[in-house]
Amino acid sequence: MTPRPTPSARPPAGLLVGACVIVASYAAQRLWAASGPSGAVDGSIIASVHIPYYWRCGTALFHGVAAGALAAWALREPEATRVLGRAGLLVALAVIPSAIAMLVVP
Amino acid sequence: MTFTVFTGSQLYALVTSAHGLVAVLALALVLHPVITLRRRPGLSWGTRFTAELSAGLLTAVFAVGWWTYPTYRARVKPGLIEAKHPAWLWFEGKEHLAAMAVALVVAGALTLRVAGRRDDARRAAWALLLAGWCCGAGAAILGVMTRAVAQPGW
Repeated sequence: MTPRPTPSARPPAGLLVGACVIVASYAAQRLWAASGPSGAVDGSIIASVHIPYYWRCGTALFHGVAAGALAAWALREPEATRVLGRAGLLVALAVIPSAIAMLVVP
Repeated sequence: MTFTVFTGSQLYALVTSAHGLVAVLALALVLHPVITLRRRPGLSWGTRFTAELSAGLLTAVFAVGWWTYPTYRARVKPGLIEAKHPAWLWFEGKEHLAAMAVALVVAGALTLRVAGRRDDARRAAWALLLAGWCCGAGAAILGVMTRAVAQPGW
């Protein structure tokens, strides 16, 4: 029986990059809104035409999908393998500061 | 004669209770792939199944959260802000962590699906699932704290 070929590293590398970009984009948008010129914390706005949370999630998803697709398309196999090899570091760098920032600036 | 089973506030309380319970169940499920990916070589059917089931449940819970969010915003949050109760800040923090948790767990489950036979992909999936679980656990703690006070007309 012929062994199944090893899957490419590019799709999982794209998923990894995409997830990290979603997290970082979400946090960056929230911090950007909190540092707005009005000084208002957008979470304190009750009535508005749109709900910032929905827009923030949608925009972060768009950024993540775009970055992940680009990474999966542009990275060559050895580069994608290197990215996967540093997954723990990448995830920690994206998630820990973002999560702390979201707790400090809810 | 007509019966009203649930009023609006009761329905909100029911949906948010179910939302929280299913979220905790999904978080418990995430622990299975987090532990087995670390302890066992290779990828078992059960590991991939629980990763995908937990990702699906968390996505469904997140969708329910989106559905109830306008009600919270209109009927719960104003009272909390007016009373200067910190629960509205806990709630916002919970939403942020939940959004991150869903993205990370779904990416981890998809990584196992597309390349679970690679060692490095399994390690990447483990990192994503573990980070997702940590964010989800933080969201769950804040959710329980919020749930104690944040109800319509509290």
